[in-house]
Amino acid sequence: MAASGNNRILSSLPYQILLVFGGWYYILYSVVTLLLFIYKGIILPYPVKNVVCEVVLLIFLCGVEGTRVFLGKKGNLTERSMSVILSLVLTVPAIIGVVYFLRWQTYVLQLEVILGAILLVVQGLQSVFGLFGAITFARASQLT
Amino acid sequence: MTRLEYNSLIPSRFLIVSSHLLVLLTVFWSREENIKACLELSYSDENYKRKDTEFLVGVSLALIFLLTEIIGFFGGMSTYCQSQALFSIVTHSLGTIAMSYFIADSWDCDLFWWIFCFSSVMPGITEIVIIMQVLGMNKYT
Repeated sequence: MAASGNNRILSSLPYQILLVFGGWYYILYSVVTLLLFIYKGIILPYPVKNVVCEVVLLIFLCGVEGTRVFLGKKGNLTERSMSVILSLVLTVPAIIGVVYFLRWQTYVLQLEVILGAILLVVQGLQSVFGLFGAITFARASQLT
Repeated sequence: MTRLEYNSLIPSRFLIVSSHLLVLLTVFWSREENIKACLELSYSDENYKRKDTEFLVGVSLALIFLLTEIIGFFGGMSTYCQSQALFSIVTHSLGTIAMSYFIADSWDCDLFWWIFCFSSVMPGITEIVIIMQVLGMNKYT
């Protein structure tokens, strides 16, 4: 479904691949983080208040990340720059949440540092490709 | 083959490979216990350094094999190759489980080479064969 008059496909394949596998990686990330909360709750003195706050934050982050990946995928396939831009805006809270789990939460395990670092790399690449995609789509819709 | 099978094999291969990557990176940064486990009780600094280098080379080689597999996977060379996907899922999941025990129970660092052989070299070599088939002979499986 090309927004421009000619039939050239503008959707970016690397961006789509990164979004699909980034979404799958995020599922792995959230499951491992949740299991590590249980692990830390058992072996370390972990105040209930902090556990509740961090689990709620993780669930919130799941919503943000799910919306972001969905908007990015649809925006890329339908070549709408608006939803790609919305997805880029949602990247900011997503990255802040990941950095919180990587740096500022009550106990940071080494596994979480590596998990979070890989996710940050994926999100960074997604933002770069998303930015180029949004510019391409906006230009194409202006020309027609 | 139906689309459903593609849809479930590809993400599961990706998740297994990334979990193996996680475990390898973890052991890369916390390897003291494993290296102490394969030295005698009163080891010298020189012996420790030698074993440390040996182990580091092993982990780096495993990471390089994993990287070739990731390149082949994301480059579209072996993404839709089902036999490679299954082989890679089996070997990498066994490797992930073995490496988790390796870290948790601080196994002897010489045992790493067995895990390396079966869970990194074998899928890595089949991946390299597939990449060469695609790039050299233009034959997609």
